[in-house]
Amino acid sequence: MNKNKKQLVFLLIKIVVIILVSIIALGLCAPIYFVVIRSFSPTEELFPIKLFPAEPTLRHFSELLNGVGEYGTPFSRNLFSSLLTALLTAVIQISVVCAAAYVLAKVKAPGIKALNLIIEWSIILSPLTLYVLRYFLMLKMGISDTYFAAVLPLAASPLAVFLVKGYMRVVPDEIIYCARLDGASHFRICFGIVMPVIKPAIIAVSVLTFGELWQYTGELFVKSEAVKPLSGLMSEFSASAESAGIFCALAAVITIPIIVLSAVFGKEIAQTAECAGIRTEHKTKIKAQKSDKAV
Amino acid sequence: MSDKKRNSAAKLIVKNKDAYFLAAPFFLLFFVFTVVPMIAAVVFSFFRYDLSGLPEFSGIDNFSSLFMLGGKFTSAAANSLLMFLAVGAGGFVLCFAAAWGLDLLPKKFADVITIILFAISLSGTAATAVWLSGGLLDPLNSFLVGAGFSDVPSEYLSDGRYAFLCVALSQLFTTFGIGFLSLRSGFRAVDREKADAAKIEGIKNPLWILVHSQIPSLYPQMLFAFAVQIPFAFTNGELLRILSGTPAEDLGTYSIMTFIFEQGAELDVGKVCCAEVILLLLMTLIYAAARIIVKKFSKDV
Repeated sequence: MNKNKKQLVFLLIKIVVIILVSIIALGLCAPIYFVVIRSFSPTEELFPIKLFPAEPTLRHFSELLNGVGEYGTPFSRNLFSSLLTALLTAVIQISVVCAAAYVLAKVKAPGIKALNLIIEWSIILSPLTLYVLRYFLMLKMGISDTYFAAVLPLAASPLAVFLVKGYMRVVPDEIIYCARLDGASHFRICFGIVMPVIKPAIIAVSVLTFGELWQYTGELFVKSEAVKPLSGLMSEFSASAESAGIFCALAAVITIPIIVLSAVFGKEIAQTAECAGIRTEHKTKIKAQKSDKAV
Repeated sequence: MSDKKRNSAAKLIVKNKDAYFLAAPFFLLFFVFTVVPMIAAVVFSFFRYDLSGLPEFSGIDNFSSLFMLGGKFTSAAANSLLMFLAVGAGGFVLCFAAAWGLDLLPKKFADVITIILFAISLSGTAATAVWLSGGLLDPLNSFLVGAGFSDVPSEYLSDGRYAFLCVALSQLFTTFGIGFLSLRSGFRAVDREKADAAKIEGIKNPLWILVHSQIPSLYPQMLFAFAVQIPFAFTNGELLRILSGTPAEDLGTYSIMTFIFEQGAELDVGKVCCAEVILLLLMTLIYAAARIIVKKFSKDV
């Protein structure tokens, strides 16, 4: 009897906690929900804030797509350059990062350990920290006002390599060892054997990079309107009376694809994150393995 | 002996030479766009240079002028550190607490919440920029004024009283990123044996289990989550400022990153490099401290 009572209390507490957490989560979704819902609201309904517009409209989106910037460039052109940058980055990043991650995780040769350490420390260099320095460099190289200004630094992202490298531990060393014995080159092993297995990590890294790129503003870098990414338009609008709706529509166009992608590929991202972790005790472990082999 | 070692190293290099070619494209890009800018930052911090003409050696003039500038940079550095305490350290604690709390809840429910939090972190900056963009029709003002909490719309990002709070809160809102995911899965993969042993001993207190069995096996994930949090705290406020189109003003949100963007627009290479050197040193020191602490603790296990 007493035991039953105790269990009942536990169940009740659990239900209450779950309801509370759900409310908090809903509250956290609110800022994004309102931005999205306001992009469907006619301008008259923007004040005061409403949970749902009485007459939803797609006007802001069509104005955004057919709109023309200060210098006569249509916004659809900005959308196109954002998409093109994202695609270019994905292609270059996947091929470059997977190859490097394979070498860092699976090849035992002089210098690899040092490179691993460099990558680990480079995690603290997010794209924004070196942004202005890269701007100077690219001005000098003459590529500051091109798509490459956004693509190349992000393609060689240390965080991406670190994540893919971590995920490599699902690939057993024995397979690679056997393939090497059979005379397969590292190229073949990497692109033939390893790449298909680490698909979740590739997807996760691509989603992360997409999220980063989709909010890349091109501040300083981009001078010509044709190259300007979508997020670069954000600062041109404000919540002034005429453009508040379009501003929300633009933010929605930036926000929704990232949310959809991270929800669809949530499992892959979680699997990749599971392998992310900085192990400081590398040395002792490797030594222990070596002595095992000697025995 | 050392000859033998050298020989075997050379053999390993020859045997794996295609591996070096495989890693080369990445490290080439990494070198050009990450290593070169950092080296250049150190070098050019001792020069006066505006990208045209020749750089002019100026000793430590840049550094001294940085700290003279009417206290502008000093207050920027102080603001950055405060922001780091609030968003970096605070965000890390928040991530850890959330990961632990979710671990105690039913798995399916916790997974849904995790994905929601992660999606927000990846996409939320643009949305918060809209909320804080100012004017009567931004969502925040139309809520506060519409509900009668305030009479006139205000520009929260350029108002000294609210700017820091707004930026810190919106940063914490988007803090549950890849580091948080790593912590979450770390909790799940934690050494179950120890947890079971605790159960057999009759220990049900989740706090006891956390301290004695979960944290010791979570160090790698904790260090990773903290490492990701460092650049996030130092730079993301600047992204928010740019996205919302707020001018850089001398407020609590004027950070080292704002200073760098401001001087960068004027092509003052020397000052930018100085500020970058100080910023990078700061971040490296913080990470080094965290790494040493973690290393010390994980040895005891």
